[in-house]
Amino acid sequence: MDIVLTFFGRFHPLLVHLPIGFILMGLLFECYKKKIQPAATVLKFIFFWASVSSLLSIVSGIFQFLQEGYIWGNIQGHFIAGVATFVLTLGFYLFLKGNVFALRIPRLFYTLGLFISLMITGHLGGNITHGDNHLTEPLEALVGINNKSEVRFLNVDDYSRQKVYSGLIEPILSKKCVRCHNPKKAKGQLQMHTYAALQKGGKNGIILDFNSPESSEILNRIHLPEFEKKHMPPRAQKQLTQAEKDIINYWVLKGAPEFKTLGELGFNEIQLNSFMVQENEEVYPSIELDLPDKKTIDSLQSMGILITPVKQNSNLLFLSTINYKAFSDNDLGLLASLNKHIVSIDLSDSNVTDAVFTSLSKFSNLVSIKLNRTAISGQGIDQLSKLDNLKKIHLINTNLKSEAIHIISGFKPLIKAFVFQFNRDLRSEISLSPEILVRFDFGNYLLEDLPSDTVVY
Amino acid sequence: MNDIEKKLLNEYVLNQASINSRRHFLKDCTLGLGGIAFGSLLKSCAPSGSPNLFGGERTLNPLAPLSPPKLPKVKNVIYLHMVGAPSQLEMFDYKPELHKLHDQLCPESLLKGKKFAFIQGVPKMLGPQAKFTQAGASGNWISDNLPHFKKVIDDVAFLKAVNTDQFNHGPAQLLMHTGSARFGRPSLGSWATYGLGSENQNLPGFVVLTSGGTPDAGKSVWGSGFLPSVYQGIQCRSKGDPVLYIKDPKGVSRNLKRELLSSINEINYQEFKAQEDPEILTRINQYEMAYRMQITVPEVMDIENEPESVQKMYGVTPGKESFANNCLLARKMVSSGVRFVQLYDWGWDSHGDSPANAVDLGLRNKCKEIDRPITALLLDLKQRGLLDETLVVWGAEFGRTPMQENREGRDMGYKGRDHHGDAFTMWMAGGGIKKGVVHGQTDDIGYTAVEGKVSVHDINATILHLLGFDHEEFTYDFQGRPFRLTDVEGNIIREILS
Repeated sequence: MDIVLTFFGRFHPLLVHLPIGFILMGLLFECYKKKIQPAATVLKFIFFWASVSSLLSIVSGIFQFLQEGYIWGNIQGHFIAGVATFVLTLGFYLFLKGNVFALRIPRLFYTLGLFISLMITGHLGGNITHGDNHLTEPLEALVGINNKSEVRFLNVDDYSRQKVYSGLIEPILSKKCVRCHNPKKAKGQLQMHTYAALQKGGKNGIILDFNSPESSEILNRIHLPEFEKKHMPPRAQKQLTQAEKDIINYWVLKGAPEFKTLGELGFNEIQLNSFMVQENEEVYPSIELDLPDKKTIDSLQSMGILITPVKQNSNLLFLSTINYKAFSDNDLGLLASLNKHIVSIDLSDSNVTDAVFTSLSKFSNLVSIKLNRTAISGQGIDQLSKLDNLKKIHLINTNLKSEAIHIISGFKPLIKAFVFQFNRDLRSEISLSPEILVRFDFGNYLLEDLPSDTVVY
Repeated sequence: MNDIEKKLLNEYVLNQASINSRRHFLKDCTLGLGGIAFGSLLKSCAPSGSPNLFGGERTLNPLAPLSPPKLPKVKNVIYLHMVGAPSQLEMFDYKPELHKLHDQLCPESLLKGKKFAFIQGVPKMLGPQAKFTQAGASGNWISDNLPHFKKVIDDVAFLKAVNTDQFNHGPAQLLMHTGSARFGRPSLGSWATYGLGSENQNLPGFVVLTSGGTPDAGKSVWGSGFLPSVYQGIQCRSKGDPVLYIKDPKGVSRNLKRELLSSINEINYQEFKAQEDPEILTRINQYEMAYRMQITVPEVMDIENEPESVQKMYGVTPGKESFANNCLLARKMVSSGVRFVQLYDWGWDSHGDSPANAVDLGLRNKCKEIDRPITALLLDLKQRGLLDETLVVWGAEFGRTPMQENREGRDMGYKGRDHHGDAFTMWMAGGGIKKGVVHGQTDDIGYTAVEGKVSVHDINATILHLLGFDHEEFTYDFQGRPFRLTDVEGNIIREILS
């Protein structure tokens, strides 16, 4: 009996297309019923067969659900929408036949309702077969959602202490295999949701061969070409990435242990790179910029101004006047075309004055500013509040006024301001709350003399 | 000869030709096409239409600044090396259990298969010769030999189980700084300068300052090995003229000197054209650098123009050679754009053969010599906003035994310990370093690592990582193969990275 049910259940994917076609044809006919005559008879005919095929679809669907181990939660919506479609189809057929009860509901309710429920049923059914984001995937790329990257779950700091199975293999399997190999839906009678289940294997025997790991069936299956029937995961499903395949391969060849750690099995960082949580502490804003203007850079370099990318192949620049101390406020105009590129600027020991703040406020991506040992007093420093990325500002040994400290304390993104002044105690000139004070370093550290300083052994 | 053979031969000839071109020769073997003043003369050698917006200058000036491949955590490194190997058991590694074993004979099991520099037969255990306390918010242990250091202990990440396979000073120092116990490899500072150049065109990228004496391994610990010699460390003297003969001789004006140099360089350049030896360009570049250094170096090396409070904080004595002076100089160098400053302090070899080498006498004085300056250095870097872009490393070539040294099987006159590389302490502080952490642990007597053992290569890999390099990718082709600082080893010590 089971075989018959399974066999009939397998017809579900075929049968479902009949009501879709019939109903859509009927609805189309409904729209043109005034032009094409005799409409009533044809409509009745169409919706009779639509009802029959809907019913068959539902029944075959139920068999498939029972026989192939689908999870109720996954198909619930599809089932309810399918039944609704059937009810509406049958209802409309009865309406057309002139059934008194059916006639109580307006014609538009049937047609519109059918259209909607048919769409929902079809969409949910498609999602079950092809994956949740089958339809929307191409669109995500369009609007810039990057769904391609795999979930990262290993931490660079402690990955080597993670257990190989629970920390690495299990997450991969549950993402790519367990959907079809679990207690509710065990294709090939294979379950892969626990280590014990993996050991047990399926109807074709064991998948992990502990005596000769290299001939383990799981390796055959993942390494077969994708078009092969025995290739796993099946072609229509989400495939293992190369890194995932390599990891499973390495683990199986090492004897597929359950409790060994990644470190013990000798996994290295490079192998695991695509599973590592990315360090998310980018100092500089992540922005796409065009190449900086070569002419400007050449002319700056010929003046002796140091200008280099913050790292190789980056368009974010660091500028320093360490070799051109004669740099003055006027020279800032030379940098205008780089006002997006420069993220870090060091004008220490140069001739700039308070006018520098107006110019600097146009460098929208500045993260760090150094104006140590310049003549600035802080007049106009409020302009820098426009800089959304400014994290550090160095104003050591300048003519900085205490009012400027209050203005700086209002800079939202700022993490630290270095305001050590050699000859005066700026700290004593201001009063700020402790939470704000920690963002300033007033320096003036001293090392008191200790009695032990003078002892000689 | 059929078509395929012809094609192959043709391809081979073309390949050979591209390898042997003069430009290729210059580019590959040198990087040392030097001399800013000679830029115009050398323009013909520079690759035309340089694909890199910023890189063109390197062919003219081997010290032109370059960007690292990865975003760096630090721009500068100050490396403090205690020559002779201080005893971790009297400074950072607190071992109360060792007290209980004091004066007992060392169990045979600890000696089996071990080789020591001086210990023979069965030595006695030597309890810690210092009092330890917990300090800072981290509560990390530190001995009373370093009272000032307690103030900055929370800024430091300790490596308590550093391991080296060398037990004699020279090879161990070479291994620590060049990644090989044999001569011939470039030092860490040379690698850094080769990869990053120097931001200040008037100062070298790699400066070395010594106090008390030269390391046992000689100047090779800051040598450039097979890298062009322009990348070797420049040793500055801590007393008198910082660089010998840096002042113009009496009666020689600066203009005359300029003309003299130009003539010498012109002759050298003729020689270069004839010989094509890149070391000639290095020499030209050295002359030019020396000329520019004449003004900048005395300025940077002058510690007397520092505020008195700063001088007092470090405890400097101007005009004398001292570790304190060198610490202040290191800070001045770093704030002037010197990339890599290497300090060697001599006199830590506490064998117990003299009062100066006793762990309860001389070692305490040595600790005193570095305690204030190092603390001041960290605080000064911090108040100048430099600590988060500078890496400070403290260490030595190895550590010392928990056993008392018994040279030639006899008791020594003073309390001392032998060389020991199985587990010793180093620390790092500054940019990219976690504050107040301890990584690694030794057994109850501080003899071997029981957890978090790190190697010399791990330390170098970590330093390169912080400077923005992948130590496995950062190579230099020599004698037909790429060389790395970390050879085929090294893991970044992530546990101490923030």
